[in-house]
Amino acid sequence: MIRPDDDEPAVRQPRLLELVERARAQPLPPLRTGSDAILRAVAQRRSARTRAAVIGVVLCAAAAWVLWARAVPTWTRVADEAPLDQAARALDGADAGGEATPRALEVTATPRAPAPSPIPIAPPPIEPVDADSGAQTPVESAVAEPASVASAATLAREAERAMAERRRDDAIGLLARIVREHPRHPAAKAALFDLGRLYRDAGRTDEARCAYQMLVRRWPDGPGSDEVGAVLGALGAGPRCRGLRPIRPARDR
Amino acid sequence: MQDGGAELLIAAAQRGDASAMSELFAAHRQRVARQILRMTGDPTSVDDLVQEVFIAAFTALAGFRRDAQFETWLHTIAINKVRNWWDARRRREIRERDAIGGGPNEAQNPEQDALAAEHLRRFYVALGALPDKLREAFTARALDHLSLVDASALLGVPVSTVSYRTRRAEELLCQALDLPPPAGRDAEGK
Repeated sequence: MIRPDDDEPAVRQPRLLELVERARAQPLPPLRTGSDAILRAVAQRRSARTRAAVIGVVLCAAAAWVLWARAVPTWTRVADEAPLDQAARALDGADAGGEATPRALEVTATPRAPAPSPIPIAPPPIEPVDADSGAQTPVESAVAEPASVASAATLAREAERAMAERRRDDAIGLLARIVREHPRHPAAKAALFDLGRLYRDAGRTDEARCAYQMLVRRWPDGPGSDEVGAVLGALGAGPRCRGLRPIRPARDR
Repeated sequence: MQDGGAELLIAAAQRGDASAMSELFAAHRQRVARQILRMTGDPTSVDDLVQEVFIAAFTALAGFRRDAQFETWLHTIAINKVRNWWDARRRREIRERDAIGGGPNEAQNPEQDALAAEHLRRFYVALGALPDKLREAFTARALDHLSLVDASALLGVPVSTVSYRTRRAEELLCQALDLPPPAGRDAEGK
């Protein structure tokens, strides 16, 4: 590219130059616009921008709150479950080892502030030793270590989905896992309610009775305990239970 | 760089001082209006465009760096507004042409039948048909009488680019207006 001369003409065609000069000579029309109108418009635009910014901030804050509200309970539950899961695994280990004598379970937990929970959690009582069966622990059905310990919330969601899709056996399995793997979690209480109902619907009254009995033992004064007592009365007497499983006479096994 | 008084005025306007903004408007509106008239050739649009330019300028005034020329900054805003105006006008003309099924609008006003006015109208029609960059270079150089250096600073492109675009715009205008091509084309590298 050739360096242009600083004084090179902008227009070289004479007739075009005439037109350009005529364009330059156009009379300027009177301007009606005043500064007041412009300042008003500027103020309106600024306030609109401010409103948009405020709305944006509010929306971001709301989105962050929603995310936080969804995430924090999960973290809290996971944190709550950790020592309890250790206890459950300890109990599992004791059962798997087949020890015949009762032994005390020692759980050391670091003190921490209780996490807010919509459902009051009563401290679960120590399960009485089943003298007839030799069972020693409240979570006797936790005989097999699960491949992976899912959170109670996850299991509860899967169980709800299974119930909604009428996959009763799957739902029973998932609810039993909640009771077994997260015995003190609030979800375990709801799981026992649902287990009792599902077992009753399936005609497995002995197992339903076991679920309700465990519920009453663990949460004797919780809401709904009267109804559970009434259902247990309606179910009548039955075999003793080891956790969720009825202990049938040897010939039935 | 502004002189001291202008710099103080701009600083006050940046702080939101309404009277300073009014003073800035009064000081620059005629020049901006003239630039817009030259760029558009449409006296009826000048008022609206002047208003748009100053609203945009005062809204964005906080971002203006005082080491730059305020006039140049306003001119840049005016160029952008006029560019949008040409786009809108082209779209409107296409819609109108489609609606009436005819050719380009002929002069409706008897006063525009005068030869000079008609030539000017045709000139602006041809100018509006140019690509934005060519039109802006030609307007800055030919209509606003800016030097190559000043037009280069205004448009943010090298001097050689301004020169090329101006010459190219001149050629295209001559073609559109059925004028002989400008002399001295051989010196230009395309």
